[in-house]
Amino acid sequence: MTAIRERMLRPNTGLMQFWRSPIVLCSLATGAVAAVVLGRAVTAMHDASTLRREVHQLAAQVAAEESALAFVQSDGQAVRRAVNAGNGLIVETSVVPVPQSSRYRVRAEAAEMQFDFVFQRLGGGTPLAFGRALTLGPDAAVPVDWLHDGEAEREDLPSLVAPRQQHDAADGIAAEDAGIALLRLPAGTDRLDFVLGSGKGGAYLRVPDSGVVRIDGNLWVDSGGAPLELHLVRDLTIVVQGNAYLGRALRVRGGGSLTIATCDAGGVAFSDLDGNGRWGSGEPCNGAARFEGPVEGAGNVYLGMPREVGVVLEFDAGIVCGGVLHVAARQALVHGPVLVNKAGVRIGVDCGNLVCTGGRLPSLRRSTLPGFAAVGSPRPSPLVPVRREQPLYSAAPAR
Amino acid sequence: MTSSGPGSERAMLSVLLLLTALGCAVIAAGTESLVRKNEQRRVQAKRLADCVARPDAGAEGPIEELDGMFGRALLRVNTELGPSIVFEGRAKGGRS
Repeated sequence: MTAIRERMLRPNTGLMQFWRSPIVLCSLATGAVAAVVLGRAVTAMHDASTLRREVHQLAAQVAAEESALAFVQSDGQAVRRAVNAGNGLIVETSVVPVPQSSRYRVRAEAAEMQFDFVFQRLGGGTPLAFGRALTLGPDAAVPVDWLHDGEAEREDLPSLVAPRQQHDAADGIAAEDAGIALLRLPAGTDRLDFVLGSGKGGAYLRVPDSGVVRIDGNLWVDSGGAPLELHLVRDLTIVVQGNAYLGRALRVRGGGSLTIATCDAGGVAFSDLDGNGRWGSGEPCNGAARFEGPVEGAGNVYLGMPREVGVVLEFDAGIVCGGVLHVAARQALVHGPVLVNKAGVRIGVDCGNLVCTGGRLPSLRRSTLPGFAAVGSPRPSPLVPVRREQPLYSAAPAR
Repeated sequence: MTSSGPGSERAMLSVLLLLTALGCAVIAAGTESLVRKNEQRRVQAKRLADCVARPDAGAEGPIEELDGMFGRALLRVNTELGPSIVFEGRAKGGRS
């Protein structure tokens, strides 16, 4: 018993000597350093592999872009191509139509990796006038103190592609309101009146596939303190066959752009000098010998309500005014492109300036604006990478 | 324990450790170089992604920041449909 106790109390000198050995300590240190070094090397190699894939994807995208251009410009003849990126990296591309869609898919194969992109064949690009903050029609006269940003370009307005009657589509954008005109104008209007953002979709505007909605009447945004916030998932053009009364600021969210285009179909545009919303003798008819048609004319755009001047209004929209553009706000800031056939009237003594900021101009060359005739030669839309979905279970042969 | 005794065993172990340390140093140097290259490629890949997304943001001609990314140089060219990025000629110090 005593011997056992003595043995237990006596330190294990062999083990102590083992740990005191410099070789053991060096081994341990080297092992730790080697683990760190190897870990770092593995991480770096993994990074390199990820980067290689990214770089190959970018090479594939450059080649796919060339391929899409060649495909559209050859009228669908150049289906397969091989692009040499150098040092043995060949990107082979092929273009095929996507079933039940107007899109095409480009498959690019680089270093045994496949990358898919989709694009749409466009008939042309967006008219250049939409790339400017302000474009005036050849005969449009602008008050000298009206504009902040100097000279505007003069050009004929781009041609509207007449949209078909789409009652359902209009329902998702605006709702008819028989009272709004009488609420805001002394004598109301002769046409039907529609309020933007009060359709079936509410503020979430339901954009049809064509991206164009025709309103057969006047379009209203009623006045109010807070801006009207609209949600658009893609570009929308509202063709108004009447006047547009934009009584308060418009804020557009969701990635789509809004363009309001008025046209003078079935009416005469006039300069509403007294701001009563109806033509009176002495008010010049622009482009017509005498006034006829609905009392409120057609194709006019009002930025602000004539009888509620003194506010600053901001519009996240493009405006194509087929008639006369009236500024009835202390300051009207328009962030989208402004194209005016006939301009410009200030209504009320306190009314001020039109500021075309150009802050929300559409891209021109590789896109089209719904409702407007495309210009130039056919082209592909920008390529969108397609993420490949991994199958949940790998395919196994049947037993 | 081998017949050559603990002294020679220690010597062998020391040599082995030295070799391991040397190997680690070589791997570390290689890793450092790979990390630097990765960083350069990451910057270049980001630049190329920007160029592909917005080909109009820059002057026409070779994109020098992207030299060495591929065997061929990358050029920004103006076409009827706007600026575009294409492979052209040979790059300085190109690799794939």
